[in-house]
Amino acid sequence: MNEWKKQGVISPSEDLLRLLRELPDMDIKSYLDAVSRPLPECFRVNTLKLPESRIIDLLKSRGWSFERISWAKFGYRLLDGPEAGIGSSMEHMLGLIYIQGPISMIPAEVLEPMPGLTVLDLCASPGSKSTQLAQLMENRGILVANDVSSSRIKPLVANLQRCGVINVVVTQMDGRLFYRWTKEQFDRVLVDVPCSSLGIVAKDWSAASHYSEKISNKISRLQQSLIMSAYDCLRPGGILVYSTCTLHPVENEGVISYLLDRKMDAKLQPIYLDGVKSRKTLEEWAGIKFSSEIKKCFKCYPHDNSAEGFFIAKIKKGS
Amino acid sequence: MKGVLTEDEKKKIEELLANQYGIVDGLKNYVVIASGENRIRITHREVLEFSWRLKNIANIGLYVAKLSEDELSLSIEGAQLFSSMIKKNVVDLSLDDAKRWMRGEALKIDAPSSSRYVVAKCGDVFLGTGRVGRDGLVYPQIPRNRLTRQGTKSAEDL
Repeated sequence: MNEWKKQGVISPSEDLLRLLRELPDMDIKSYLDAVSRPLPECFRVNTLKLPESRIIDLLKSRGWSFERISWAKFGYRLLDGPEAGIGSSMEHMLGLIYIQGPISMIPAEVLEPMPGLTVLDLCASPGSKSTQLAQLMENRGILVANDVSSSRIKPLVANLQRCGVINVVVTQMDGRLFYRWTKEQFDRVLVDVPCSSLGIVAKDWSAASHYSEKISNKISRLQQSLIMSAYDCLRPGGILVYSTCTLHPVENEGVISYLLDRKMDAKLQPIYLDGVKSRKTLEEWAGIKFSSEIKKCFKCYPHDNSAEGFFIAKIKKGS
Repeated sequence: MKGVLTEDEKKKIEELLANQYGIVDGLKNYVVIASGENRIRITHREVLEFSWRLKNIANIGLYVAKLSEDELSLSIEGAQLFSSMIKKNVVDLSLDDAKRWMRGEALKIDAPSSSRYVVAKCGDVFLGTGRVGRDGLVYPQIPRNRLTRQGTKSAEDL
């Protein structure tokens, strides 16, 4: 590992190196290789603005080439294009496309947000998944996009506007308390929680260099509160999706285990995805054995798909 | 005007849309809300009614137009949403002019202007409204954070 530090490519903290060594299925060199490279440039075509085929033709005529992402409707991986980059393109500014990581597109897909449903995105800013949810809902039904931070509301509102979302209410609430006003009001709830971000170190290297075990332990308590609140917002028969972009089991398997131990009607659902590499969840961590149901969750590391590392759980509330 | 518009207030906005842009029945299926800076927003009735049980609402629906001295300028999203209904005060730009528009450059256009505002489009892509100046130029009303000249880093996130 010292070799990595010497190269100045990335300098993982001691706690991160310890975690990587302790994860039984982790290939440390592959992980560090993957997070040292930039994430692939991917985007969603925004069908709230124009039909998919029309936007595709427009992008091609402007010199971009790309391929479809098999697990996300409207998702594409950029292959080549003008030097200025798609992030500063007219198409991006007009909201015809939304730039988003390929694995980050999965949670909203897994939630199955159909037109006409009432959907909550509890930790919504900056709005990648909210705009994706609105698109999958075809601007019909009700979407509530919430975030706790006033500074994070601004980009959320801007992105919802740019994507042409009509059926949305943006709220600024502490997600842990959200259930107090909306108990059993939602058909679908997405809780993409704040996390230690060890799956997206390629985007923010400070997540690796500043990581400490304390961060995971502290943030897992917040995640537990958020998932409990999210679950209480759900109608019987409704679906909750929990996601993180990190690796630590206390923020992933541990949080799902916490919910399952307290909500007897919570049932994990299998996640079926086409073309994305995933791996088995852990059966135990730090001497704590997890429910065998947790194997239904989705987990991938950054080197599995040369993209983000993510953990995703799909939970149905008993009716 | 402020808050959810009454039927009379909504009718006034509809008349402006019809007079300025030829948009008829554009707001028929929406509730209309006036927010800060005379911005006109729209959403669905069921969204509005659901919002009554929520706390700390920061925003609701889509900003489609701005009312200024009894005239409406359409936002980029308002122009795209009503695109099939816009019949007048609309100019079709070449791709090069559309790029200049998105950089915020004033354009010399033979604007069929019976209004202080014209909608710009490039094919079926609508680019919002520009203000017609006394100098004969049209000044795009593009929010600063959506101008392409900034080379703004995308709002990409996870």
